Parts: sequence; C-alpha cells; structure tokens
Amino acid sequence: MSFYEVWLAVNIVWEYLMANLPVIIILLVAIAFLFGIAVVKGSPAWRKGLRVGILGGIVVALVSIFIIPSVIDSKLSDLNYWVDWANLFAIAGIWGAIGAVMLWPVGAMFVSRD
Amino acid sequence: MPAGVKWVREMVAEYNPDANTIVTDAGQRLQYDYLVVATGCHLDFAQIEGMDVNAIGRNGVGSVYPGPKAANETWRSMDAFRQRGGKAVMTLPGTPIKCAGAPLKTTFMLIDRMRQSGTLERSEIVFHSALGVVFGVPTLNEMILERWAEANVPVVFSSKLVAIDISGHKATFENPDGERTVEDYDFIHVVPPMRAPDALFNSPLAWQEGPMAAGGWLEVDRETLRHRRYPNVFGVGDINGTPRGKTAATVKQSVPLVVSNLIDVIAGRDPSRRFNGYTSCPMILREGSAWLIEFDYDGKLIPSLPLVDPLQDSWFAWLMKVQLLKPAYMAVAKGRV
Repeated sequence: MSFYEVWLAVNIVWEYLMANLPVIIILLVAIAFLFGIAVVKGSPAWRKGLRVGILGGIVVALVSIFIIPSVIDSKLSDLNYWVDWANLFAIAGIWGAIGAVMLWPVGAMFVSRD
Repeated sequence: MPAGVKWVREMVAEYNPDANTIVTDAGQRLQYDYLVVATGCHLDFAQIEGMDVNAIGRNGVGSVYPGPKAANETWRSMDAFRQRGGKAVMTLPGTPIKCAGAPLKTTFMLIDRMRQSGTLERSEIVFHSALGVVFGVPTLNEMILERWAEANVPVVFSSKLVAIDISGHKATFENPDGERTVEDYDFIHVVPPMRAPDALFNSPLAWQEGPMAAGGWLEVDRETLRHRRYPNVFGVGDINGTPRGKTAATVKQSVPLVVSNLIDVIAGRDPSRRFNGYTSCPMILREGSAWLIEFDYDGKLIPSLPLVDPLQDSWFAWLMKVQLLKPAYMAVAKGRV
C-alpha cells in the first residue's frame, strides 16, 4: 500500500466523519454529559463501572450485528462472504465500543463500590 | 481555488496547439507553455432523433447522465414505473461512455426494485446494446448476461437507439445493416452517444485516425497521458482517447500521475510515471450486494484489496459503493488527493 493510498483512506474517513458531524457531536456531548454527571454525583465506582461498560458494550455489539444491515437498507441475508461478515463485525465492534464508553459512567454511578 | 491561480470562467472555443494558444467563447486569446485538457465529454443526445433532455422524468423517459437533476428525475420516473409494471427498454450506445457500468447498474436496480414491488413477473425488461457486448471485460460481460438471463432480461446486440417518440412511447433501433425496429415502452433509459466537445473534436489535438478519431478524443499516450504529437499538452479524465477508464476512479489515479509527469516535463525530463489504465466499477447487483471490480487497460482484474474477490457478490462492496465513494469524491473535488 502506497503513501497515496493511505492518504486517500485518511481523507475518505475524514470526509465521512464530516458528513456525519451532527451524529458525532451528539455522541460526544452525550458521553461528556454522562461522565460529567458521574463526577458531579460524587464517588463514582470507575473500576466496577468499567465492567458494566464492557458487558454493555458486548450486548450493544451483538445487537448491532442484527440491526446494522437493515438500518442501511440491506438485509442480514445479503451477507454471504467472509469479508462481509468481517466488516459487519468490525462496524458492530465500533458501536459496541461507543456503547461501552457511554455505559461506563452510568455503571460507575449506580454500581456500589463494595 | 488555490492562491496564485487565475480562474478564467469561460469555455474553450478553439485550440491552437501549433501557436500554443486557446481562444475562449468570450473571444479571449490565452497563451500557454503547457496545457492540461480536462473538459470531460459531450453527451450527444442530438444523435437520437426526437430526444429532448427536458423530457427526462416525464412520459417514462429516464437518463442518469445529464446531471444530478436528471438522475433524480430518472429515479422518480423509474419508481413510478416499477409500482405499476409494464415494459422497460434499457439502452447502451456504441461509443465510449463515462461510467460504462451505469447503464448496467440501472438495469440491475430496476430488476431489484420491481422484484421488491412484486411487478417483475408481469413486466418485461429488454436491453439494447449497440455493441456486441454489454461490458468490455469478457468475464464480467458473461457474468452479467447470466444474471440477466436468470431474471428474464433479453439483450439485443448491435442495436442502436436512433430515434424516440416521447409522447408516443416508441423507441427506434437500428442494426449495422441499417434495418430499423420499433419498440413500445412504458419506461426507457436513454444513454446518449458520447464524444469530445466540439472545440476539441475540431482541433488538431484530437485523434486523427484509429478507433478514437470518430469521437474526436484527445490523442494522448495511454501510459504517460501526454499528447502524442504536442509534448506540452496532457490530458486528464473522460476526454482522453485511451481504452476504457472514463470513471472517477481513473481520474483519482491519473491526476497525481499527470501532475508528476508535467513537473518532469517542465524540468526538462521525460515523464517518469506510467499509467496502467486503472479503473473501477462497483457493480450494484441489487440493494445490499455488489461486485467491487477494478481493472486495467487490458481488462485484467487488479483488486486494490487482495483478499477481496472482485467477482464475489458482496455486501461489503455494496457498502463501499453507497457509503464511502461520496467521501472519496469529496476528497478528490477538494484537491486533497
């Protein structure tokens, strides 16, 4: 892979993010808000909350596998090639990671330190 | 527009490569040391008697080529047709065209939309190709024809759209022997013959002989994209008289190469970079599935992602087409890549 192709890929990702900027801003604001609430509320259990976040993230990723194709006007049955599945898992993994980050402060607020 | 570049908002009306000048449609004569021709191609609807571009979107007439508005109107027309069913006539001219996959994708999508609407079984779709094939890469041509045979879409080869009666819903086709046949239709996708714009077509820069001369395409060397007779002239994009490759993918790959070769020439060197004719055609087979096809001048498949089989029906290929190509176009349009 040449430098040009890497640069092209970086630019495609950038333009994609810019095209979806409202969604990204909403997610970032929501994440900041949740972390802010957890801190303001006092004594968040970050370590135990992380476990909740990871478990929640796994659930979000699993659910995303079934939801993503229909959200973008396709069907799960359209996937019949390992490359398709690898990409779907990767995309679901990204949503799972976002879910984990959002659920971490929620878990930290509501899980007991003990 | 980058600093230091003067944007002359006039069309070129005349090329005088022997004098290193161009004349604009406002009558302005401009001198150059080096010239890069990137005019795109002319959609020659005038070769189809009775065709009116303003009719696209009405009376069952569609054509995605004239621009975004026409593409939207075509979709509206196609959407209305697929709800009620009937007879669709799809066309392909005999000239080189930009995005040679578009007429085929349109056909695949029409089949898919009609299948979704439940009108496919009681409808008829026929494809007229002015050539002996529907796609220039033999393997893919065969695969496309197999898919259409499965969907009961017959192909009439060597059948060129020469006239259309828009209000009467009739299309006239001509074979190489001059025999004409008339098809009734409820929806027609008109793909115009394409050629170089008049200014280039009538200039010494156009091919003077060979298969590209008829369209007046720019006579560039297929590897360096430098003009074969005027060494201070280069070509970029659809105007080039090279085999295949009137696509955005070709522009994306060839623009950096032309820039590099032009710099070489300005510096007194020979062009150092060679173009293999890379082009790409993500062939949408239906909503949710596509082939990610990339090939060179010789029709050899050259996948950018070695692990991805270009001939495999793929959701990933479709996803790339519908989600990532627009960002790629934007990056190219902004001059970053």
